[in-house]
Amino acid sequence: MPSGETEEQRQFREYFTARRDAVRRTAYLLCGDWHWADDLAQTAFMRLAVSWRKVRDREALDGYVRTCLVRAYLADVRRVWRRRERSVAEPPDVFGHPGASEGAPRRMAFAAALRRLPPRQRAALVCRYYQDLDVAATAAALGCSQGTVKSQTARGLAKLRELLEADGELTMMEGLR
Amino acid sequence: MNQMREQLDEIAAAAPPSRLSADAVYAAAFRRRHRRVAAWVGGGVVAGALAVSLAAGALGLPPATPMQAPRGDGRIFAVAAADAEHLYAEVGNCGGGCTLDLVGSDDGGRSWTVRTRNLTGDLSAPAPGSLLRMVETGTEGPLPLHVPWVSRDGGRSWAEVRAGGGAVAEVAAGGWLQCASPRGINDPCTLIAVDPVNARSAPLAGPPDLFLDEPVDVPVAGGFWVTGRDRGGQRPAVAVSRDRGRTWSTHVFTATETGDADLDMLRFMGAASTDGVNGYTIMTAADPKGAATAGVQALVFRTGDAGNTWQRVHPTQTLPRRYYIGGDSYVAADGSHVVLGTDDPPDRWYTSSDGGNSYHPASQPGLGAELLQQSNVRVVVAAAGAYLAFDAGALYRSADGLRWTRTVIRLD
Repeated sequence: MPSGETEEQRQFREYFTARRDAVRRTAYLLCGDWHWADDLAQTAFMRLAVSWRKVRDREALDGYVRTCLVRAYLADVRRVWRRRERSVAEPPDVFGHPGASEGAPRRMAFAAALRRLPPRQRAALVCRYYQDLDVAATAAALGCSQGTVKSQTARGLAKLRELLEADGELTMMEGLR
Repeated sequence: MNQMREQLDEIAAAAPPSRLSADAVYAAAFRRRHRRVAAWVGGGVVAGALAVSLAAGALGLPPATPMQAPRGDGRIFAVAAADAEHLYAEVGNCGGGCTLDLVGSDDGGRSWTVRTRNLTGDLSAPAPGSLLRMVETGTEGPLPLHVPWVSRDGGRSWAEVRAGGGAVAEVAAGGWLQCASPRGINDPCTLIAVDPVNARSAPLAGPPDLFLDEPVDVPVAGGFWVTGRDRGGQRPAVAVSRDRGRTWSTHVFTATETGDADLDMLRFMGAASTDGVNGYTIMTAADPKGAATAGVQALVFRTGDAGNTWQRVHPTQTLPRRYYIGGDSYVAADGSHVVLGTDDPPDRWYTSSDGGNSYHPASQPGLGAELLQQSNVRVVVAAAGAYLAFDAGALYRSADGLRWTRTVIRLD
């Protein structure tokens, strides 16, 4: 343990080191921009740091960070859109290089479709299908009712299908029928 | 659903190196206080997403940012006003590549003329006689840098606001306070005083002793209001100046006032006042009752003495449980507190006519239903008796903030 470091700080570092990349990836799926994903991940970990003593159940750490992350994202989106509804161009630093692999075009099409979903629908899908959360846990993360999670998930899937159909990439969604 | 998971895994797999380190995040968490979130977040999106040309135009105007489809011709993207007669709007112009035009009316919306073509930057009217555009000039790390441009002739010509000189004791006549463009991701808002007549800005010499969040959109006659946190901890605060920023009345909300609300999760608060005397603030806090109440609760406080004292109201918890931020509410002419909220989109309006004790869903006669379908709903309180809102197709005016008149922008 470095000199002057507290036990809490050491524990936080261990958790951060283990979970940073996973949290960043979730953040990226939510927002579609790696700079913003870093900001969101930082916000979530900062909240965890100041609340470390309160989160006594170490099994609950992931859920706490996830809740912070999702809510920070949804709130940030509201702030961004409030100032002016922006049409955001394709992020320049994402998804690797086109053609880097055989699956690249398909992956890009899926990523583009995901990015075009409304934020709450996207958050619901990421929680349900990337984080593997059930409806109740997703509701807790999003701060909404379970009914809202169900409706947002259903709308998100339908919209995703619609967008991919339009892009001729329907086959990748056949498993979602 | 495995296919979905595989697709998501693939998308997130190509992560670039992270700038985050455990020690830096830990240290930042404990020196963190508020900053102007909107500025860097909004810019963060743009910084990562838009390539902005920085070359200044031959006329000394900021360069245009190409618009992305499907922005439509004639669609309204923003409105601004500092009184009931002088109204401004950003509208789409898609005659050969979509851009934004600034249009203005000097007769309360009856007639309109184009004032600036190829407009860039977020538009507002922070004080009577002036228009402000915050134009992105680049980025510093993940943060955008903004430069203010002002117009004193209704948006026909613009001047870049130059920073410099020493701190000023008060805001010049016709001027306003705003946050300096943040340099660090955890920087709090640094108040600068803008003098639009001379197109100059300088730090305010005596800001409130807080980690500042952001100025509150209060009409100039109501003084300057800012939200933030105390320097010792996480306590939310509101400060008000009635002498152009020379002195401040600061109220830090104590644990006694906020009760058992868990403020660790507090990141957002919004304040509203129209006359500068009567006002409300809404804080979003974690709810100790947890999942049974969607995890958050709305704390509402009311002041009747220009922010000197605040009374906690809203015992009924009748506002939707959501995150509330600046601009989510306003005070109508009759003193009603009008709040935009929902726990399931689209938004709807809630009003309290009993001083914030209870809130009820309300219709807003004359305000188009389409307005609530868009993502950037807000009511601009330009001055007492001058409320403004918009949707894609029209601008809405109101003298009392409760009954509205729809105005379609038609250029002369």
